[in-house]
Amino acid sequence: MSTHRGQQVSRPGPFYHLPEELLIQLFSHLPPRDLDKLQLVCRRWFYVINSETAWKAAFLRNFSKQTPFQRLSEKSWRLEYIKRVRLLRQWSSAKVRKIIVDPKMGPITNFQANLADDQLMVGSVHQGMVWRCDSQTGSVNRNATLFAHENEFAAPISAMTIESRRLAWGFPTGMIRVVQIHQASRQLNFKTFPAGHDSPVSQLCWSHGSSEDTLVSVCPDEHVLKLWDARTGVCLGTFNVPTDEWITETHYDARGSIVVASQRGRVSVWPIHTAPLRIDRVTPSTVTSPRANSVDELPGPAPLVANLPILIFAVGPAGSIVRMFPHWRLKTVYVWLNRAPWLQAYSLETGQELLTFRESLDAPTSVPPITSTSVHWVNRPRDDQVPKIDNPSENHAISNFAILATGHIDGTVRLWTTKGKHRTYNGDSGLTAICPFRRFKAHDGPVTHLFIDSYKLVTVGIDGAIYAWDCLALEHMRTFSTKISRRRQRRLRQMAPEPAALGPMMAPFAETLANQLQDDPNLTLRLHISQVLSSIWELHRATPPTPLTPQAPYILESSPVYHPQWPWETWAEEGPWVDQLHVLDLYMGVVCGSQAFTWNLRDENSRQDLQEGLLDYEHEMREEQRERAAQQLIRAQHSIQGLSEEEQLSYAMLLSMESDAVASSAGVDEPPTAHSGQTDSDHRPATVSEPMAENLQGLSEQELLDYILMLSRDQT
Amino acid sequence: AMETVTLKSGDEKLFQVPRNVASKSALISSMLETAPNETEPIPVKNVQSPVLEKIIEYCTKHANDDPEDDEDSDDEMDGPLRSTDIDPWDLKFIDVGMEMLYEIIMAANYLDIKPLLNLGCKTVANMIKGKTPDEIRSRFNIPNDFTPEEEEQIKKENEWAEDR
Repeated sequence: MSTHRGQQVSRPGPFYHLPEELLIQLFSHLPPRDLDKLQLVCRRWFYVINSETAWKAAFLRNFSKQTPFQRLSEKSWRLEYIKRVRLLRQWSSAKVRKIIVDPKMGPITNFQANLADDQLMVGSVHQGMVWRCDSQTGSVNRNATLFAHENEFAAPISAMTIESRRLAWGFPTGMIRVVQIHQASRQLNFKTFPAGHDSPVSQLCWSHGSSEDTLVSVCPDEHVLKLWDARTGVCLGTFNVPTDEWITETHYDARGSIVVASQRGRVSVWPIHTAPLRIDRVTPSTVTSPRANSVDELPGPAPLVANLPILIFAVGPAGSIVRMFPHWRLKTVYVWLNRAPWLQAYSLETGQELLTFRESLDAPTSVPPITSTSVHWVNRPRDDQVPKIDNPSENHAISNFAILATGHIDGTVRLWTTKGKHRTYNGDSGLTAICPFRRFKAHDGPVTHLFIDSYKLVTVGIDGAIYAWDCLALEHMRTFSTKISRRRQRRLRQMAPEPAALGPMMAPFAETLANQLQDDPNLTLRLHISQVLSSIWELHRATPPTPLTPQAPYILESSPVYHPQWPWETWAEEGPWVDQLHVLDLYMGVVCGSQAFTWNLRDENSRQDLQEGLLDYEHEMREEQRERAAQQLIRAQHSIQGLSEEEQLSYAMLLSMESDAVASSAGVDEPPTAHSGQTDSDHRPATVSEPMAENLQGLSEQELLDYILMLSRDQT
Repeated sequence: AMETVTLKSGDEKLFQVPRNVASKSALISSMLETAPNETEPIPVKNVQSPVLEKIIEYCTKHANDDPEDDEDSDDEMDGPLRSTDIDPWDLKFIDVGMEMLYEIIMAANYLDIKPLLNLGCKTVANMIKGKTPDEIRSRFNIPNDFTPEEEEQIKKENEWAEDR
């Protein structure tokens, strides 16, 4: 039967007459992608399909009725779908360019990427430096290295924080410096705070949001936090920390409060808005003062001293806090604990527990140990909007996130929401319990990092595998690899400093760590969360019959997070270990030890392989240059004034021959010139016996030549 | 003895069915609630006897299902949901001609039997999935009433879907 246009079909099939509401029902069972084709079937279908109801029905059924996702397009459901699909498509099929940041800087502790602004900054506390990298090649421009000191040498630093336009350094001496980066002029504006601390600074924290240029510093030895005006370097307040607390994490919002977590599982809160001192009291004249470095010129307000936090509350059953996520606008803090219950939410105003996370609402079972979390908040928190909450069951904790994702030790991921039926409210305790609305297996081992936003979910497993998922349908979109070409791997291995004596097996690692801590109680360590997790995991695997005993509390509690001492380098044989994960809209960056990888999804460059080849080549060239420079340096140190290169070479050869003769006649190994058999002429100058060379320093050119001639005559 | 109710199809045929089977229809269920002691046959005027027979067959099979499951079972916890998953019995049940499929959908809608309506819609959706408009038109015998210009215009607007 023909259905071609213009031909009269004798009697349309029954479905031609299906009522509109049934057509919508029918279409809702189809993926939205099919709807666009179906519009072309006939006019009637066209109109039905283009009604909002059809799109909404199809959208909700195909993604999820339960997922409290955030609309990407408020205008229409069709646009919502189109937008979502486009974004997801970028993540699933766009050609990505992988950039490997130059690994010269050693272990990367800070990473800041904003590729839209062509900006990529990596910092290393070990080296005390921050590098601005070329976001296209990952190479480090020498001029773009930021030193902690103006005179261009790396000073030991104990704390660092990088934001897109500003960075701050804390020193073991207690000094604090900030640098404002002017994007356009590429100029740097260094500022050293006239007063600092007297002991090492362990943490620095910029105010949340960028409206206020204030900074909080933590000095564990003095048991204080200090609040600074970063523009003038004036101390705005000092906050005493109870002496038995080690601060592990600090968050600060200029219009809210300072919130710190301690290793003893306590949260301390200093509300800034109740403080007698307002930050805006700093007079404008001091702000623009060019000589702001001088403390005398700043009368300023008297610094605020708050003896103790306004509010201290202990979270969970004695354990430590792995991480916390304050939600300033709603005055809530989500606390990730190292023991069950793994997650709790507390009020920042009263310290009251608001929300608890359970596997199911019926039974009080706890979820498996959480190894990573990420929150996608509803909208961006706007500081001036505090929602009114009348119904106690709709309290703060209830309405403030769209989706919270947790990664677990068994490789599963759970998604949580406070909306819908996955929660219960207990009126007596004021506590709301929620259970996951989705649960799925993402990795074989623990999920070490996680990121979620309104359309995608990115997970990282213990093996270094990175997966991107459609966060509504939970369909796997893409795998990102941190694997690099073998040649480059070889290069990197050559360049890398001696790998830590500890292998990837974590049992010896934990043992060594324990010994170290016993031997030296002052030893300070900073362990990345992934490292702690790996130790849990490895211990877990090493002793399968015993139930999991989280070692994290042990490690964290006995090692106040302070400043890093050990460069954790090469981790696993199978692939780079991911230490940090940074996901932006269409960019992703990960840090693996001393390397950073970025993926740019916007750049659909099909010549990725070519690019990598070029990068490899460039890298090798740089390596050679570096080696040559090193050789020249050695030569300069050992060279004899006035001799040409050839003369020196022959001299060196003579020496080595001579010592060979001595060694063979004496029948013993000769240490200084043991390399003499080597034919690599580049290394030759380095093997010159130093004392001999020095003995000859006083001789004139002519005398030297005579000497050499004499030696050669002796030889023959 | 099980309580029964009598249904009268559009073509005046009587069907005696257990009460819980008839109650799968939200329409009949509410009628029974308002008049619990009614002994008169319940007229189902819009449904002819062959279709009503099919529907009773379905309701009998699913009489003891958890009504919670009748609502959309989107609430699956593990893994992505698939609307294509159909129970084997249902699959066999719904393997009928186009005309009957249409009648079942219409009747399920009228009688308000949500799972059956979903089953019908899913079945049709599976027939449509992945087909070109031409294939769909010939399969469902639907005339193409677009002018070539209109068709071109719509295709143009849909280009976003093609740029893979």
